Amino acid sequence: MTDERFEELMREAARTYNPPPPEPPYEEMWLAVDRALTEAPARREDARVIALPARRSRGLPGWLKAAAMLAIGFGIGRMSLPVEPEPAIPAVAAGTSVPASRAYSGVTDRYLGETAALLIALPTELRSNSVDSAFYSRADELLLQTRLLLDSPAAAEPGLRGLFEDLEMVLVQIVRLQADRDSTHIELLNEALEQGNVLPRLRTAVVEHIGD
Amino acid sequence: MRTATVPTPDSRVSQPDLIARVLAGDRVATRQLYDAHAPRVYRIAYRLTGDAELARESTQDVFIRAFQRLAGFRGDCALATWLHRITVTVVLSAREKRKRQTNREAPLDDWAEHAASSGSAGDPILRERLRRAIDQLPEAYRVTLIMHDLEGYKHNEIAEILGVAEGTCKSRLSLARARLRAMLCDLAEEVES
Repeated sequence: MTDERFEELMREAARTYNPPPPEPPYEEMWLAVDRALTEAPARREDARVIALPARRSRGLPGWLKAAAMLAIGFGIGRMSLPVEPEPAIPAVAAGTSVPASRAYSGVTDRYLGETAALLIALPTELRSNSVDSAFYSRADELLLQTRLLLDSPAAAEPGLRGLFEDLEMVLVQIVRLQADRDSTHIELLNEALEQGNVLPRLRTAVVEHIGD
Repeated sequence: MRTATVPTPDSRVSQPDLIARVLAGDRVATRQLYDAHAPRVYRIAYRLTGDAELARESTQDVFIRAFQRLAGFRGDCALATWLHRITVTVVLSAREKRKRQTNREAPLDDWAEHAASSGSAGDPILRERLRRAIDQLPEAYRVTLIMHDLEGYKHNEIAEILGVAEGTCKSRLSLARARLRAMLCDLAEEVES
């Protein structure tokens, strides 16, 4: 495709890809916003404090307990396995009978464990007054791995694919927090973790993969 | 490529003054701030979702969250950037939630309807191929492409909104374009033949 033709397609996309309607419902939206603000006045909490529901304020949050259990279980599982060096990208010799998705099994195991460890460390990181750049660069690396796995045969398994997609969303939000720890973003991250039931699914995936 | 008709925030209104008035409970100022930013927020929401209901709900959600947390706005970036950052997060979260609920691709029967709803003349198959190709991009690439190539944001603006380095933004755009080219190459051949 020539550059000229591609630019032409981009201009066409600018014109036709999800073009907003000419008369958006601004008034209707304003009424909904105004009503919501009247019903729930502005919050006054410190913007740097993690916004968690009140029911979670006593002791450790449920998902954190689950994640901690997952980490302990995963650690025990890993210690009981023989240590084998794993290539960053699984190499499958041509003509072998190993299915492609199985060839990614080691990479997937390690990815799932490391992602779980990162999510376990997340609340501590968010409560800290200083930004740990190593934490965020690890999150960025895991985000890249998520995308590579999404494009790999490992994502052929529907359950794993859904989990990878949700983890991608969560990791994007974590990476973004390095630049801005706005309480809204933290709350959205918590919502994404809870709504997607991400940690219980991650725990199940780790257990299933260790069991393989 | 930014569309000239998109309203921009009213520069005659001083941002700190307006924010101070909103925080003091001035409802006129609250409406003024909404009027200044709603067009751009809604536009991003619609571009990213392609769904009128989701764009409306997301826009409402953005302003509700923003007004409730305006006291926490530290002023280290423009208010518009802060709002657009919330917009992208809210929209992507809502889109993901909706995707999980429906968990299906748009059926082929929807093609004609969707193509017609874009309200432009031209080749409906071309439009649909373009839409599907852009939809298939990984989300970070899709957002970058939409904001840069379709909405005309600059790399530094996108980087600030998405909280990534400008170089990351440039590389994402480059990869998004490369993937699109690959997905659409047969289309170019069809047209040329």
